[in-house]
Amino acid sequence: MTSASRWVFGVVLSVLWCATGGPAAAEDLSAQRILERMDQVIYGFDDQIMDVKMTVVDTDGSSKSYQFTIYQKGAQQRLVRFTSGEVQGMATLVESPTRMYVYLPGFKKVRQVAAHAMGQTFAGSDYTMDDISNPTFASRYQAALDREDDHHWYLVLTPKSGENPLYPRVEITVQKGTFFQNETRYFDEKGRLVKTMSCSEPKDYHGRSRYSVIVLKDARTGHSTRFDILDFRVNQGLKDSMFTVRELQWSR
Amino acid sequence: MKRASVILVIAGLCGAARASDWTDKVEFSGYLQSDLRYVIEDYRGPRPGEGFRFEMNRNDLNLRLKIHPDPSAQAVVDARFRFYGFNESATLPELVRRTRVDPYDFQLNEAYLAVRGHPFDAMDFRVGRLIESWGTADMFNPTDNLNARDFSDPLDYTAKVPNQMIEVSVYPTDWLTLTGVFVPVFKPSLLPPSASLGFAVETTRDGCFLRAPTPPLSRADIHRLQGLFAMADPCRLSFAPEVRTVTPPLNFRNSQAAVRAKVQADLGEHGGALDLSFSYFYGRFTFPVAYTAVANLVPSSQNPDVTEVRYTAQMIYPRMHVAGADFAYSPPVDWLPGLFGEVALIFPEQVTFGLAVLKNGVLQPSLLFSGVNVPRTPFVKATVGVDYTFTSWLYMNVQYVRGFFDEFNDRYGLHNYLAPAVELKFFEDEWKIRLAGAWNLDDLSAAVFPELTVVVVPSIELTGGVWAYLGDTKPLDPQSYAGRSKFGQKATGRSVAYLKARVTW
Amino acid sequence: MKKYTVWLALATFAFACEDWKSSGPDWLRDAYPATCSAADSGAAPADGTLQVAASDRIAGTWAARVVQKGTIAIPSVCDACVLTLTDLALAEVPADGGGILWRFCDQPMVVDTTPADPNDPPDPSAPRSVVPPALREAGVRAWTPFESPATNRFPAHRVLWLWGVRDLPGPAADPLPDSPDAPGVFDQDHDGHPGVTIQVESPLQGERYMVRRAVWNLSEAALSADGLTASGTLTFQVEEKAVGADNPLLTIVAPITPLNDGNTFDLRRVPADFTCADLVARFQSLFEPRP
Repeated sequence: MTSASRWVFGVVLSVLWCATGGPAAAEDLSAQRILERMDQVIYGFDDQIMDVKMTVVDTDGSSKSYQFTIYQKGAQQRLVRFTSGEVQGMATLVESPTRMYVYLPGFKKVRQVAAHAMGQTFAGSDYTMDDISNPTFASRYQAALDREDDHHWYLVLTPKSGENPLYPRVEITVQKGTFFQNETRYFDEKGRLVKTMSCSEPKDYHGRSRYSVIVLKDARTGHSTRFDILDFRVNQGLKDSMFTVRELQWSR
Repeated sequence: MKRASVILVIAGLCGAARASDWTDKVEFSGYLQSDLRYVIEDYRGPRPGEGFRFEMNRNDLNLRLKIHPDPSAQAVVDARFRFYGFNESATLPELVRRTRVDPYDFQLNEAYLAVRGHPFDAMDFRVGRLIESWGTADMFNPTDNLNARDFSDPLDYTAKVPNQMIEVSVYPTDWLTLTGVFVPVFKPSLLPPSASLGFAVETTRDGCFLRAPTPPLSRADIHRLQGLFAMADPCRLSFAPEVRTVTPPLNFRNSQAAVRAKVQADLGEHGGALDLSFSYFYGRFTFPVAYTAVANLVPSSQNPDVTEVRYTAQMIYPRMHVAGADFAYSPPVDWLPGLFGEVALIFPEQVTFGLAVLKNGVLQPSLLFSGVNVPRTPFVKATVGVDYTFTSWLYMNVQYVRGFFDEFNDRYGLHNYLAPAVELKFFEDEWKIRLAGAWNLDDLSAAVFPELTVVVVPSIELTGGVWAYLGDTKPLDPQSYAGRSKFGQKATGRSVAYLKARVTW
Repeated sequence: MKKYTVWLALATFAFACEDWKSSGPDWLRDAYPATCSAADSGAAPADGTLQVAASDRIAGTWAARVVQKGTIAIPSVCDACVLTLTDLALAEVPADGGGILWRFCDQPMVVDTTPADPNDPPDPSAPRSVVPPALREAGVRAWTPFESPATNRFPAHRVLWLWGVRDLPGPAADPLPDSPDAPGVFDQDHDGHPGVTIQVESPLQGERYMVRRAVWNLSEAALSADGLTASGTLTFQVEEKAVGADNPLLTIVAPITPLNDGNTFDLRRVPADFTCADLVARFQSLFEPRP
């Protein structure tokens, strides 16, 4: 019962990774600074509201879609409401990395989500709870510049001392000027490619340009999950009280 | 002309904006569900050999409307139409009435208004027809007493009886929630259709008296009572049992109230997450408890050789104070399971059971039996559980339960249960197998319910499963009120196979 | 403020705790007040510990002692021993006086072992058998309707007892079956053996599985002045067949020949909740000794 929504937060990460900001002035930047700027571009807003449609695509081409709305404030606080599918009415809340709740409409109850549920995916998508609960890279990874060209930096990330993220190696393509994240590749402890995330189809959302499509593909199975950003709004004045159990209780 | 065009455009835009505003304030959701069930045994019914038939052919239409007239206010209406699918007509005139051939009912599950941040920023309140759920455990919540349970459909074990109440929640800090609820009028729990079998008088195939339900009396009194009726020719006894409930008067003394303090405990960065609640409830137990019984022996007007035993039982809803506490703990590492638990210390009113034998309506003083059914002694009901996600496709939840929903430390006592549940997911979570059950550790009877749910496409689910009861249908000890199998007794229900189809929007 | 809060809490608790019980017996007494009638004269019972209201009607519950005398002949043991069967039973007469329901409780059996020469010791091999608990608790019953409703005296009537056999077309006269598989034979005392089981203690020991028919022809009996007792005489016939035994030698049943004299019955009014166990424990104090 606690599995249904955690993956969604990964959407926040991936969606925000593909956020756009204004062009940055050219400057000499270390790899770590580039990574920090990329994180900043993602979370450079007071708050965000996103309407997302997630489509899970199987290897045989069949697909299924779910819609939800994500409310986020800062790097930690996020609230997700499912608006379609058999989970319609369900909501999940992240107050902090260690405190998460889910509202279950069938039980009319708010339930705490435990750490062991982090590895669960939702509806066969390729996101786990761990993907979404640790959104920023710079705090967990040490970046090294692998190479660069006229348009992109190619960073290689390894865990910082004392950190133990799910993917020991990550390769990120960061667009020069905008600090967009174009593509991200995740590797396991043996160096094998696990997942690839790519962003495409830029679109204007209320004066802000961003990629409207994010695709996460499982390199092992060929399975993929696609996110279509239906709407994206920032700096809406979301209050801290929105990211509390009180809000979940109110909205049941 | 140009100005008129501009005005028309503006008017059109405003009109469109108004329509948009209206839809933004309304949320409409619901589901449509079909439920088909088939009884898969023939020994748990009122008469041996009765079974292997359709038990349910039901369609539900649930409509939920949420209106936000203001950002800090909302009104919620949740209604259900239920079509039973079985013909109830038995005479020709009834065939002209659709409601007899295709019976249905309408139920209002919720209808309330809610206001947030008024009159104080840190206060919310809700007034109206509500369903409240307290407690951290799954399903077995001894601290959750505000709404009665709806067991009219045993498979829908989470259902509750809605009731009018006033709820006020105060959030003085971000880690503390104080809630108070007032319920003006008591409502009892709904029982399964098989509940009447708990009061049934058993007869032989020839119609001779065989066995009556054992009342909550001492073993010596039961022996005396059985000896009394053993004097009579069993084939010349005609039992006409009737069970009534004592409805509490509609006064303030019979209202119910509860308060709760919910705390989010800070255990530090590496301590995990701990939520605690402390609660108090005053009200009534929503399941009836045996109170009186009268056996009035009168000669049958139709056959003077036959003695009619007009057996009338009364059941009462005892008052109680409940001091409750619950917790939910999530450890900071994923290789430890989550823990949760609830405990309720219940202070009941004492209920003394009385049984009288009347002869032609006159009380026989020497035939007045009595015994304490619910002692005044406080007792504990509790649930403790763990849950763990082994892999992305395997989840397990195990709970120990002390005291089932309907147990109140009467002569039947409080029993111990184990309620495990395993969920397996396959094919991108489109197939979900749930293996769950409840096992009485004292008499070893059990209820098991394996189930398969298939998400055909998002929003559409097909569910098939079995709900089976295991245990002896006959009393384990006919001379003891407690001598019956919890899940084996017929009053618990029938074993069924079911198929449900549901679409949600 | 704190003091006020404490008082409020105490007042609330006290309010909630007031009258914190529900008494079913009290409710029943209020709903069904007991009334007194002329019959409830409360006459002092013969047995000072037995409280039962006297009545001039035979309706009610009666403890019964039925003494039957006969002789029994067992080869090499007993040519014609005098046998006394004392049946203890409970009898219920409904309010309409339409009949009487007998329920068997016990049957102590005494065989006269007095030697012809007083100086000789009693014969230890005299026949002796006991009704085991399973049969006592089997609830064997016999119902006799009266030809016309009786009110203040027990009419003469016949009681037909069948043990271990049922569904005989002519229950009073048909031959009794003598094999366990014969139609009508059933395990009435639920001990796993056909018929009813009698525990034989002498001259052999073991269990005999029997079918039995006993017929009592009871005389009319009038109520005593206080309405608490009634007595009369009877004639009887007993017929028994063995349908099995755990010792082949026990399958031979010695017939009982009734004697013409000494067959009596006594009835004693008892409370409705009087049980067989009460009767078995107290019959010697309930009834006057018979010669």
